[in-house]
Amino acid sequence: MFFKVLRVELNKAFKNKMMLMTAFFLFLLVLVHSVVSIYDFRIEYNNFIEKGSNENCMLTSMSVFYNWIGTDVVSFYTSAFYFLMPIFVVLPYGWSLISEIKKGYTQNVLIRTSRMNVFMAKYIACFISGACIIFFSLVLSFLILSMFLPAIKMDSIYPYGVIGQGCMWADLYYDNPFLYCVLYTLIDSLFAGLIASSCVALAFIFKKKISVIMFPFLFLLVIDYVDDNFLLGAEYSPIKFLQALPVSNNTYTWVVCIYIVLIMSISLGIIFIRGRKYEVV
Amino acid sequence: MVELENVTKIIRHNSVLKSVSFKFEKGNVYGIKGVNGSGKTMLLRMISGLIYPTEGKVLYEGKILGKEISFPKSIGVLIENPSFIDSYTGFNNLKLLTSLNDIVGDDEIRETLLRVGLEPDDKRKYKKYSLGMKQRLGIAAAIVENPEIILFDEPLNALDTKGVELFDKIIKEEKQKGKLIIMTCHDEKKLYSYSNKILFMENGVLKEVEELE
Amino acid sequence: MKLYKLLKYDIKIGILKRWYLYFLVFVGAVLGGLGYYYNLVQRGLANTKGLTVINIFMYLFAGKEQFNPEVNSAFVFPIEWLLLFVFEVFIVMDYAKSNLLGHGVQVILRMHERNLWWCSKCVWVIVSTVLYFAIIYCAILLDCLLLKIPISINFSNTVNEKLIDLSFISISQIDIILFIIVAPFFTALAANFLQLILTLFMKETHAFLVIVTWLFASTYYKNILLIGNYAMIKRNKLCIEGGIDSQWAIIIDLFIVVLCIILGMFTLRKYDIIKK
Repeated sequence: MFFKVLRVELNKAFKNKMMLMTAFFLFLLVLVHSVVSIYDFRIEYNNFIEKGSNENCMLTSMSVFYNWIGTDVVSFYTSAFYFLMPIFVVLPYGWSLISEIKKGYTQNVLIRTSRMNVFMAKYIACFISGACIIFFSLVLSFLILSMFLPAIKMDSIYPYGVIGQGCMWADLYYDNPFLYCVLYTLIDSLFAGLIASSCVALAFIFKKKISVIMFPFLFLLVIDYVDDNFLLGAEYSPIKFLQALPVSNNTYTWVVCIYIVLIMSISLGIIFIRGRKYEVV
Repeated sequence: MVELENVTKIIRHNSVLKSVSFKFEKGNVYGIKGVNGSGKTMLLRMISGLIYPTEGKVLYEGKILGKEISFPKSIGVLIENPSFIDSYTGFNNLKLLTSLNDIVGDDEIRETLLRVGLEPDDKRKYKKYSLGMKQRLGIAAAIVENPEIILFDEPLNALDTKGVELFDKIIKEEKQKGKLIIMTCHDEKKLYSYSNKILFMENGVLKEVEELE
Repeated sequence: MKLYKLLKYDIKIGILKRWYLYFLVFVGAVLGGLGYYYNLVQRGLANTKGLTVINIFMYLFAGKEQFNPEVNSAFVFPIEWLLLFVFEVFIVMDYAKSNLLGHGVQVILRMHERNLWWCSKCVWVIVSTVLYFAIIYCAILLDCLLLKIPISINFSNTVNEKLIDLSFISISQIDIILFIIVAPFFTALAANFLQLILTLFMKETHAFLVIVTWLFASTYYKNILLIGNYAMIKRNKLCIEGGIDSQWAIIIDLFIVVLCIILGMFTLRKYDIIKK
């Protein structure tokens, strides 16, 4: 029964206008970033052809592993991508539970299956929709850029692609940058899914749809503010540590793990506690 | 009083009303009947001035709605699910609305609430109301300021027997006062009992007008 | 008279009933001010001579210096500035549209005039913006009273330079008023009016996304089309060569506001008041 409900939810998650619009907008962002990067590469490459043997042209700055949207921490498009990510991941399907509660649709579903089936299926569908939208954007960026930019292994040469010692997967970035990008894609997708699925829990707390949609974004901004002003030594703000190269401070594995555990446990905790006894009023 | 001249309305490439022409006179009750999606609610919205025609004109006392005036001077509506402030009582909701024009005072509000079968001193907030109570409050909001034109869209929805009886009485009283009442209702028996004329809508077209004795 | 009643209604329903949002702003601003002081203490600047309330306001509205991607250091957006303006835009996001399609139907029918409704909403946006900034200023002033930071029009250049890397080519007292009161207010007002007009054409969340993206782009690019630049002290001509002129910025902001008001009037004339 659960899998039937899940199938219905996944269908609704992926076949709705908001998913299409968000995907279109993100892909447009990725495309513009790729075009700009490729254009800059062409200029640098021509420069390299002219002067390569006589000048140090910083070859690694032309690498796909430095210009991919996940690692291009200098670019506006990357910053905008990660800054707006909490909104992008919620827009496809994060609003669904609060919307269905308000319209009374939940009663149609709850009389046909158990509460936990419905809410867990919703949680998983939101998770997958949020994760997919980010996953495919990052993969698309990598694929497009790989067609035009060289896959040069990174050197730890300032100022291009420097990751501090002790930073999460630092050695991997230099030894196997492709695997590094894959892992970051997966981490970003995981966080995107967690943020999107947290809206299912928020639907039990907030009464307004706008509050459910905007809360993750505003909350992450507040975390960024606290991190920027009070916390030193490591990157505690997801908006920053989800970018594959350090923005202000180094990213540490334990910080990422704590976030994953916290978001997941709080969201699921709220869903289990409030969802089990949920009443359609 | 209200005249529709070849009114057509297209929303997202769909013609919801097609060349509808009719004249509504004061002191009459007009019933609009038709299947779901025939354009009844759209017609009411058009008359109220909430939407404007793509082609044609809606005239209120000779003035074109949407050009010379935005809305009829004196109108009360109950269209689809009425919307009120959740954290206010029924009385306070009506007080909030009537404070905009200051035509009626607290006494008239209390009287209107009693007419629809709601208790004026009920301290319950709107969010605690049952569906039937919400509908009654919607009817009260439509008639509280004694408007010249009253539009009712499915007013009997969710009303119990007592509520329907009270509504029957309201229609009789408002008709006697010479108001123009236009309503839609799926209960044909009731519609025929209230109305002087029945308009039959089909696919956005005014098919037939039946005059009743 | 009708407009006055409609304004009363909008203030009651659009502001007083949403008091919790403004309370959040107040709490946030108080904590923000305390946070600023904490930073001063950490850097040993808390007892700097000349430190006043103006330093805190400059910290809030400093924004970011023009970003140069050629240097290849990561772009770090100015979170204080963004949080201030993003939350402001969030507060005025959905009231007008939800009112138009909900309770406002009954209101607008009683007013008999669509433009009255629109005018009232425009005034509501102005009042909300004024209230927002007033709350922030009051909260910061409260912090200063608690922390015994002098309330004066002067400020400490040392604190600005060391904490937020802000220095001025030249500055007068009128410039200070422009920086910390006038420019941010008018920029926020312009952003709010743009959002208000956009909500007539699209969903509130999309309009919010557009405005937030525009504000975010302002932190990256120095461009007169990106109105966020007008509210950033670090982008002003008094801080950098070729910077934004405050007076022109205010004129452009006002122009945007007036344009939105007029566009709204024309749009509403034929607007179908119907839930889509």
